This record gives sequence, structure tokens and C-alpha cells, in this order.
Amino acid sequence: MHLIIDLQEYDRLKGLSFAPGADVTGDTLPINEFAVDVITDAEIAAGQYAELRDELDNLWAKYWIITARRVSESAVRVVARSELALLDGVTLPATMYANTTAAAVLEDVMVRKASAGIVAPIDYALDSTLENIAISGFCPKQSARERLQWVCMAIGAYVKTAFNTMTEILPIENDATPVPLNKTFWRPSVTEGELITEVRVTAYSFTAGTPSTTDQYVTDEGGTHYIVQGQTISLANPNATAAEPDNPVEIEGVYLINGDNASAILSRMAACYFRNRTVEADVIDNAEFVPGQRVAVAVSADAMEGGNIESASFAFGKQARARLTLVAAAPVEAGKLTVEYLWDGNKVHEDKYLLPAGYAYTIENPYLDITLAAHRYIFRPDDATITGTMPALDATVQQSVGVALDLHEGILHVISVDSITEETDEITIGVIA
Amino acid sequence: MFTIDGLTWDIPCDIDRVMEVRPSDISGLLMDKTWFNDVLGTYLRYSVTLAANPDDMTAYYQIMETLNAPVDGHAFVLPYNESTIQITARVENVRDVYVMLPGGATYWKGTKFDVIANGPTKEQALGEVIARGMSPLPDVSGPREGDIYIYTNGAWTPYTAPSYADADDMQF
Repeated sequence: MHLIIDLQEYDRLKGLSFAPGADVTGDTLPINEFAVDVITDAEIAAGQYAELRDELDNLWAKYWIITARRVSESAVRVVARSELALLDGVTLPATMYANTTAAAVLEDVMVRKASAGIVAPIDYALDSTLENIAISGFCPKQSARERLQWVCMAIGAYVKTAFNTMTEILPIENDATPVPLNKTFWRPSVTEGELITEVRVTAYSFTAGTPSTTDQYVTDEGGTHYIVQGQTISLANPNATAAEPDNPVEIEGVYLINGDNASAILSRMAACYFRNRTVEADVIDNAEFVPGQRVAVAVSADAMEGGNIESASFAFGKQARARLTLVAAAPVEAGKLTVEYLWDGNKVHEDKYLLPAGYAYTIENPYLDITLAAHRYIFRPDDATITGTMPALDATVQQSVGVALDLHEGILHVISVDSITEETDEITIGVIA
Repeated sequence: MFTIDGLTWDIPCDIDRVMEVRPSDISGLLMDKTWFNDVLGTYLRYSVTLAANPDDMTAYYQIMETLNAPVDGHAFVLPYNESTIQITARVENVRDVYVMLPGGATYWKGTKFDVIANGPTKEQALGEVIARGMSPLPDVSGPREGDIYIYTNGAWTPYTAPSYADADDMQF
């Protein structure tokens, strides 16, 4: 890993901590950060961006340096936070929105304080499926971060602030991407949370006018009063029995919930809160599994749990290992897919995958290095990939392979090659002198 | 013989060598029941045992002062297979024994120290490590389909099968 600050690269890092999170319930917008000791004689200033990149130059985080403090003669402790931290420094006025697109609302929200009274835009990307969702309702005087949180609740979005050059606002995923068995450490744990018996959402409508003493009302920046009327809708958990103690989740006071979006929000909240399991899974994660994403992990030889990544706490070696905390988790119907590799109709190798039913898979076929009857063969697959959709039950697919190289008694026969890599030492291991 | 920071010491010594293929702490057992070995690289460690030359104790003291310098590392040139290798390495566990004999004779003996490379001497690129599992085709110096190679003297070379002729001069 290395840092890039103001075009300067720092590759001597120590004590890196990075545990980004994302919230799909709209309850909070976590501010992510990384902290690291940079071994350098140079001084590093706060108030600028720092990019955390891996050996392949993939971007892990582009965060704003909050503090840079020299902790020894040779090291500077750098703490950098996602841009959501900058949104806290901006206060937005009380505003009434009427069929304003999410794209238009966010233009005012995604800003940071540049100097006294002056704000500067923050680079962000709003998913195209969310751009034209209408926002209607009232927002009180609040920080830009809180306004963003309300908007996310209203449009069904979460904020991704890791592994990207700019903050991304993305739709909450319903389908889980499987984490392969050979990337999941033994073995994930599942915790059953308390049962939520009902989700209640209050939708609001506003009428401009002079409120009476008994009316609930809000006032926008221009001084216009709006009389507020609320109506609560609810959804009972079908898994809750009558014997369960009442344990509802209530979402109220979010004035961007209205008659048009209330039922969609209710459905989303029910999907989160009724799936009351939490999964802790350690995975090999070279920036593939990102907070907010919905993934499915194997919890036993034949069972998977799917959930949204609430946080990913990274440990670094050559590669990276992340402890994923999955929330809104629930069992996923899964089956075993066996890929058999056949040479002249005989099975020479097989790989097994645990995949969610209905998952559209693309499996890259490997070259196979197999010794048979004193011949060391490099088999190459006839097709680069296998694609298909996982059925509900276990399934087997077959892939034919041909001999690329045949090593026998020290003599190498080249049967079929397209290209040769620069790897060395590979075939020499099996040489019979 | 070994070299520290550009100074070569031609004195009798034993040099033990350890080559450590070091995994990181994130290694572990996976759900497919295979072991994930996150190899950081290959690190060299040498243990040097040297004999002080009583006729040249000044040189010995110079070595000891170099070895106990509080620095991150030294530039070492040490034996490596049929040649030598240059590594930046830290020195640990410098120790020797002071012997006093009746009659006032004294000398130093049993001098040992460890040299531990600060960085790997061999390391795979992250991209290669992530792609592990895809068996790479070997480098056999640009083969073409139908070629036959034989591994001799550390390299793959084109192989020509011996031919024979029978009594009718038929080639086999």
C-alpha cells in the first residue's frame, strides 16, 4: 500500500487501519477514515486529499486529511476522512421541495465549506437510476450530511465512500453476489438479532397557511408556514407469531417521506429489519467486496447467508483480508455447482462452487497442471469461461480441455499454445533427469 | 569473507544461512478446506560466527563498532549459492566472550551475530499473487506447436530425436 498526497508518493507505511462502512437503512451516514504512520522526514499538511492505493495502483480511498501529526523523528501520523465529514461543516437552510429531482437536490447538498460563508462543490456521482426520482417534502435547517441522509432514505440509496475517486450514491441492492469458497475464511458466524415485529413509516403532507395553535407546522427559510399532517402505514413481520412481544421499528419525523414514496420505503425498511441476522465473515478482499454491497457467504458446506456489508475491517499482508459485518442477513437458497473438466471424455479435474439459486455465473476456466501416468500435462480449456444460471438444486456442468504441453521423461512436447508467459521454474519441477 | 558497508573482512568465519518464505498474519484456512498462504516474500537470514585475529584486534574492534551502530540496517555482501548477494539487513544479537587467563593474558572469542534482511529478496507482484491458481504456461523460450524440447543444463532446448536407418536405408 502507498499514499499519494499532492502528487508525492509515500510507500513506507506502518500501522494502517482502514475499516470503511456503509448504512443501507438510512439511519446514519458513517464517516469513513484511514489512519496510518507515514515514515518520512517531510512534513505533511492537513486540509488536502490523500489517496490510499495498493501495489497495482488501485484506489482504496481518497480522503481529506483531518490531522497530520509528527509522532516520532521519522513518522507522521495521518488521519484522513471521507468527504461526508466535510458535509458536516455546511448548514443548509430549511427548504420545501416540490417534485424536485434527486439530482437537483443533491447539487445543493454535496458541498463543503471552502472559507467563511463560501461553499465549494464536492465531486460525486449519482447513479442514473436515481437521478430523476422526485423529492417532495420539507427539510429543516440541517447539516448537508443529514440532508444527504434524508435524501438517501427517500430514494432508497446508500453512500459509497471507499474504492472510488469520488463519493457515489447508489441504489440499495437486492441481489447478493456470492463470495467464493476459496476467498472465505473458516468460518463465518451468524448471530440472530431480536425479532422486529412490525415496521411503521409516517408519511407527511404539507399545506401552506397560517397554523392554529393546535396545528403542527414547519417554517421554511422565507418564513412561509406549512401545516403538517402525518399518516402512519405499517407492515407486520409475517414471521412474528402472536406470542412475540411487540417490538416495532418506527420511522417518523423524516419529512421527505410522503404519500408517493412511503410504501416503497416501508418495503425497503421491512426488507432490512425483518432480516434480523448478522453475519461476521473473514474474506480475502482485494477491493472486491465493498461496504453497502449485498453479498452471500458460505456458512457451512452447503448453506449461504446473504446480507449487506455494513463494515469491512481490513488487515493487510501481501493481499488484504477483511472482516465483513453483514446486516439484514438471511439464509440464501444455494446449490453446489460442479465443473468437470474432461479430456477425451475422461474427467481429469473438478471444481466445486456454492452459488445462490438464480445467480448468473461466469466462471473463468483455469489451465490445469496435472500429472497422469508419468506425464505432466498442462491442459488448456476449450472455452475461456463457463456461463449459466444456477438452478435451485445442485448441478454439474462439463468443460472439455486439450493438452497444451506434455512433459514425459524430460522431453516436453508442445501440443497447443497461443502464448507463453514469462513465468519460469514451473515445468522444471517435474523434470525426470 | 563478508562485506559490511563497503568494508570487506577476510577473516575465518562460519556463515549459517536461512531462507524464509514468510507468510503474513492474514493467512488461514478457507471454506474450501485449503490453506490460504499469503506470502510476503523470501527473506534471508544469516548467522555469522567469526574468529578474532589476535594479531589484528584493531580490525576486530572496528567490526564490532560497525555491528553495534544504532542504525536501521547495513549494506551486506554475503555468500549466495555460487556467488554473493547484496542485501540491506539489520544486525541483531551481537555477542562475544571475553577470556582472561592466569598471568594477565586476555582475548575475545565466540563472536556471533545475526544478519536479517530488511526486505524480501524475492517477491511476487500483487497481480501475480491474486491470479494464483491459474497455472501459467512455462517459459520454454518461444515454442511452437509441434516442437519438442528437452531440459538440459538448466534450459529448454529443441530436441531432435535420433534417427536410424535399416539395411534398406529406410529412415526411422
